[in-house]
Amino acid sequence: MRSPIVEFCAVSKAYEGRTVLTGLDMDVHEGEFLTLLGPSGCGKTTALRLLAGFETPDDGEIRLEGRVIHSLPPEQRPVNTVFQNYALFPHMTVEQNISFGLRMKRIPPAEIRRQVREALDMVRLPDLSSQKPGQLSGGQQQRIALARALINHPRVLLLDESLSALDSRLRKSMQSELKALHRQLGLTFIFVTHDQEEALSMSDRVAIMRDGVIQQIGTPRDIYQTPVNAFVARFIGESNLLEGEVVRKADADHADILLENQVFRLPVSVAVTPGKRVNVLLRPQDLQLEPATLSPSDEGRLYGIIEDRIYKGMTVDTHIRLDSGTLLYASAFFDGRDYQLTPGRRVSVTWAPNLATVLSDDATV
Amino acid sequence: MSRLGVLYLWGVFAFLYLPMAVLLAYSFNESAYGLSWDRLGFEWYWRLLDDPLLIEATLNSVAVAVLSASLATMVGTAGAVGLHLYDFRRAALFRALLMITLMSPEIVMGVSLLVLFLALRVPLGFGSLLLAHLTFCLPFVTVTVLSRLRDFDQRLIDAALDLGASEVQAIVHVVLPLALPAIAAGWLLSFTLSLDDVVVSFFVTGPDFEVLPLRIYSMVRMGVKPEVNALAALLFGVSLGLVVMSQRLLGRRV
Amino acid sequence: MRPSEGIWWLARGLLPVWLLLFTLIPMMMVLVVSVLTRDETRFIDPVVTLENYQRLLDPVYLRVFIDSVTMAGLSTLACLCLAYPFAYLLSRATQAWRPVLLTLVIVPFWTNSLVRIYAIRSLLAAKGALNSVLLAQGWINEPVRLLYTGWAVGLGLIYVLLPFMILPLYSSFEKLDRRLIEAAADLGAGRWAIFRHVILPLTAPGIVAGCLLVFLPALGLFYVTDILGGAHNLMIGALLKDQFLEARDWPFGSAASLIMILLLFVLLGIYRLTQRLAGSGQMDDV
Repeated sequence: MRSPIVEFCAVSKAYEGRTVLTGLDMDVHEGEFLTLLGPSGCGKTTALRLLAGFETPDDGEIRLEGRVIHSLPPEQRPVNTVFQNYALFPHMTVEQNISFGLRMKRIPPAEIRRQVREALDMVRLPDLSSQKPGQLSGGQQQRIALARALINHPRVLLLDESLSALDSRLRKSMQSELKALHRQLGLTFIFVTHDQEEALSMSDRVAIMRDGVIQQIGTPRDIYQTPVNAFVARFIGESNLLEGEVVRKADADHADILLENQVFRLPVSVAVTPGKRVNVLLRPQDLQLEPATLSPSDEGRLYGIIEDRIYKGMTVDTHIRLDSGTLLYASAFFDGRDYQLTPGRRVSVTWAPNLATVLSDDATV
Repeated sequence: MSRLGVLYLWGVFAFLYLPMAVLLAYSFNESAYGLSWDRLGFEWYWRLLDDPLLIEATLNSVAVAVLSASLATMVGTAGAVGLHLYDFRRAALFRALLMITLMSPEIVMGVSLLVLFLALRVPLGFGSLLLAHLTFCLPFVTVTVLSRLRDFDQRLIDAALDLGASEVQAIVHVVLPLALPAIAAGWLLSFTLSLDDVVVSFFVTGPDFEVLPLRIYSMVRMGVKPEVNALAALLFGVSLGLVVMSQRLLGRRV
Repeated sequence: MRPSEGIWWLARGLLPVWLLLFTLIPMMMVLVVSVLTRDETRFIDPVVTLENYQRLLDPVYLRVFIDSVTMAGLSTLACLCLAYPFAYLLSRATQAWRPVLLTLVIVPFWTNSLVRIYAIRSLLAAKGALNSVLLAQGWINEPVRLLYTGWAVGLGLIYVLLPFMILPLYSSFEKLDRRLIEAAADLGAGRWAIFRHVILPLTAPGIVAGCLLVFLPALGLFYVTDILGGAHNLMIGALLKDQFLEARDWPFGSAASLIMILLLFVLLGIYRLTQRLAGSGQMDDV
């Protein structure tokens, strides 16, 4: 297996007494699109800035291609950043902005002009070279910032929430453009965002961070399907998190969990002891609804009243208030038939046996 | 910040304040010529009160300062609000005028106003002084208020209009109260500029109306008078107080 | 929004009208007077002539002009060198310190400049503090003559005008987006390159504004030369004062003033230009 292109080894960083990162360990694979995802303050931007060189770690090491770089100033690192507000130089034209890195390396002017033209073509803005950033739209500025970074052929491209200033349609189109660029260039991209949909749609791997610690790192599919704890589950995708208590361990892979006043036998992958409080994750699309008249009181079903039905075009969401008071969200493809599932109706909820995930709050990977 | 940086900062501050500090020290030295330091007291301060010309000049200056500050604040605020809310085509010319007045050196202003007053046959005295002070105070008030208006949320005005206020009412009830600190700071700035003005006053005042800075000028030219130290110390204290007040109004925690 | 209320419209219009009346028109009047002739009783005789401008070319006056510009120019340069690092450091101060430091800069700005010049004079006088200290320490045997020299005038100008250079520079530095510096470093620029390509161009408007606020007054602050320079160093400011208030040669004085007005407009033009080049266009001040 190839060694990772970037390694964070036990990196710690504190600002003015507040600890942001404690002993962060993370490997970035060469050529991957990795997203750091988490709420604000979780340390994702700090990690990025440490890699770019704008901060130095208090403890630990950062390596790029095996070389220790955390003591190098940013101008000597083969890493480039696309900033959140783009940070385009207002007093320079687009051409001067893009060519800045090349000019610092004293590349001859004719060569610079050629490369700038290529860069502008790559981001599909060939006619803007003599404009100033103030005259451009947000989307255009974004692409110029991208060109300015990429023209230097960095080993790693860092993007710090660079899509957050765009409106949603522009954002979506930029997401696919970024993904296409990534595929085309084969570079390593490290992306920081707090928008989970964005993370899931663009990344090869996602690292979910909380309070300076990585909760889970894996492919979007892994994280979505097998979140390691309740925090990750809440962060990615829509979920229903029910509170339960372990009754006993049933066998190697299952445990009996007390959930909504019933005992369910559910698969478990975490360590369980009787009496332990756990969360049970049920994805909205995994829930099956039936009018209660069909099965008035079966075991293994949860019962409640439909509070709302929301039609979203392709899918329909149902909000169910269980007898215990808990609110559940179910989501299904809408095929035109209502099955008597209207607000006010009593329904029963069930799911396929292996689709419930038992989570304990403090597990991390 | 680096050690060198801190050293440099305080070095420049020392340069700015040392002469004044020395003056302050001397103001308490009662011995003649301040050559020895055995007698300390408020002698020179009391002497100031015995100088009727000085008292008269001070009162004159304060009167002019209060009036020009108040008038400048009113006209300047109205102008700033107008400039901010309405984007008429002539706004560019307006801003240019403001810039010119703001950046004009006092001597140019003094000379040109003197010529104006001659042409209009305005007698030189309180009136001419007031007009002149008003003129150089106006742009300062306008810029101070304007910069506060820039941070103002336009939607508050929209909300007021939506709820039935007329334009004027919206301005009086919403804009002005929120801009009040900046307006007050503008007043203080005008007051200070008027009180401190030497050059313009020199040109446009008449023989019958003495103002404080010009009185100080005569006192200083007449040789070293220890009372001036005391006067200087007092003026410095007043400035300090006014600046702190103004900064507090502008929301800076001092 | 359409202007509707009559009184309100009047109130708003007062400012521009006032400025027009009391700034622009008087300047034009000065222009007019400068081409007229002097009259004993009524100050001005409406006879058009270019004699006043010819007189300005007289070597005596040219000397005054050159000396003034040199003195003002050197003082401006000194202020710039002192103030630029100062303003930069000030903008980097922590949030807790900054209001206090700013206040400390503004206080001299708001203190009567005559008083401050007087402070310099008493410091430099033969019996003043500086000499006393030097004598007491035994470093000199008799008082050094510091007053009534060009150095004293220069020092006085710098002392009075330094805050005027600091404040626009500080404003420029404060507006500088720190991320632009990071971006430049990210793209490979070392410290000097960052200064040359990012900091300098973006603080250029502040530099020009500061120079404007120091250079022109330095030409015109006649009381500085009067108090610190004695009769030896004649500057434009003193010349204007003499012509208008003592010699009563208003047309000639106006011609000299016009030079200063022209300088003002030229510098303002440069300021506008640097603003546009730096990619901004706002008005700013204290």
